[in-house]
Amino acid sequence: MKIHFSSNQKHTLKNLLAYICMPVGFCVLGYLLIYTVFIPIIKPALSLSEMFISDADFKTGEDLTSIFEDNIQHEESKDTVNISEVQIPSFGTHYANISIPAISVEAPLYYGDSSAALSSGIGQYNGSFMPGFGRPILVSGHNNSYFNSLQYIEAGDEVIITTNYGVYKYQVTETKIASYNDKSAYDLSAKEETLIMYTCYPFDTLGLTSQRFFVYAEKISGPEIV
Amino acid sequence: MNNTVIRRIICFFFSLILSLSLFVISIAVTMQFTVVNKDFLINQLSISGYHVKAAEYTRKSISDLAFVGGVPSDIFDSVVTTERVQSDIYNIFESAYEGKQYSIDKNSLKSEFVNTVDSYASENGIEITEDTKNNIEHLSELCADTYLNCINIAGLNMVIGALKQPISFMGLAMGGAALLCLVSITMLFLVNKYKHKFFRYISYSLCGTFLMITIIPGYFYLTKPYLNLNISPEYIHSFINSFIDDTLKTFLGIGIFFVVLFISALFIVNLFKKRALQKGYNERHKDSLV
Repeated sequence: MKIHFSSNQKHTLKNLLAYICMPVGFCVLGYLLIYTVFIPIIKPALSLSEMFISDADFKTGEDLTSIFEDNIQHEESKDTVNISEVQIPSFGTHYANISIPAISVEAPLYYGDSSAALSSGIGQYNGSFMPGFGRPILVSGHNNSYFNSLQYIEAGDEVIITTNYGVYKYQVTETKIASYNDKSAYDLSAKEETLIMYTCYPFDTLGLTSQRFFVYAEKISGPEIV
Repeated sequence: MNNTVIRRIICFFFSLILSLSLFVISIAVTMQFTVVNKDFLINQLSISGYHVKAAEYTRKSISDLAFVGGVPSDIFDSVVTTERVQSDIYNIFESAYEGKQYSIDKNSLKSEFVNTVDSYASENGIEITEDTKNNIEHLSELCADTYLNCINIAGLNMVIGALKQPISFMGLAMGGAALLCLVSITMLFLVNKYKHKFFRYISYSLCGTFLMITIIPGYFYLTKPYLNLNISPEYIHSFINSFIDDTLKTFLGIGIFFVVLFISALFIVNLFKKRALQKGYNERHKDSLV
């Protein structure tokens, strides 16, 4: 069906169209002009904004989360675990529990040793490995909370780390007192699975100390990640 | 090309110039009210609750250290008061606007932390040995560093310096744009025989400026991509959000001002058109086309 407009109607329509097209045209031309003139500023600014703006919702980085499931039944006989079954935790995630029965330590283990993680449990340095990878695991805790009783630990004591993918047992081999900046106290590039636990030393004192109490434990059981 | 087409091209060109000039003036005015305005920035500190949140965050960070240092977590609350944090933050921002670096006396701050721990030790009969004294010094040093890290914003002076850069050429830009506005209006007035046609081109320009000033800020205001800025702590994040939010609102406010002008121009167009019709103006006569 064809619509017929009278001459007056056509004129009114043209006027109306002009009220839409002219401003839109000005706007497009204006933006093009700005873009052309300011392109040396706009491009780096956009690239920079991509660095700072993420698709995910804003997180302060201090929020703790958990992926640990308490009620999993683990097969004792399992020697290996496929890496696809292992969920790699993000920073500040409770992914395991650590217990030392001999000195009554029972605490959540967080991936990352932020102040929030250390206030809520034991923190694992995120530059070290998770249990099962056959590499060193470096964990720390405050000496006036979860790791206060670490002062009573002895060689031969058992440390158990329970994760979603397996239970890992370690046996304490030695303890050592070292300076906080003594890099020889641990070697994260070592090819063996050593659990290194440390806390501030001396225990029960005022202020921040410059020494650390290190506990070394070797793996005795737990599935390897393949 | 006949005269009518040439006149239309001229009118289009000067309307465009008028629209762009008004846009430049609007941007300059918005910036005067927002990013280059010290009072606006200081006001944003209050609106976003910056100093209160900063004080809470600083106290929390220092109380974590206190806990690790074997003293009660709230022992330093008397040192890190909200008033102190507020005063330091305002001084930092004000100094940055004056191009100066405000410095907090770290040694005096540190000794306040040391004295607080010493008082706690003496009240509780804790003996302070030489080793403990060093540990307390270390704790106090870290507390003072934490305070400074929480209060200072890295690169603040550089950012404020960059925000103030447009001031140097803003006067020139506004003057130039105002002159172009005047030239464009005069040319449109001279080229158009009928007043309603002159005002019609003015209304196109006003509507064009409204679109330019509204579309991009409106898009950002509605989608709010800056909410996902990866900047922490939270008080800096909310301050930046509030700052951007209010700057965009100012743009939209100026956009509304142009809408009002545009609607007024439409009324004037109708008014003058009626008068022209009464005087025998024929819309479709080829001499009346411009």
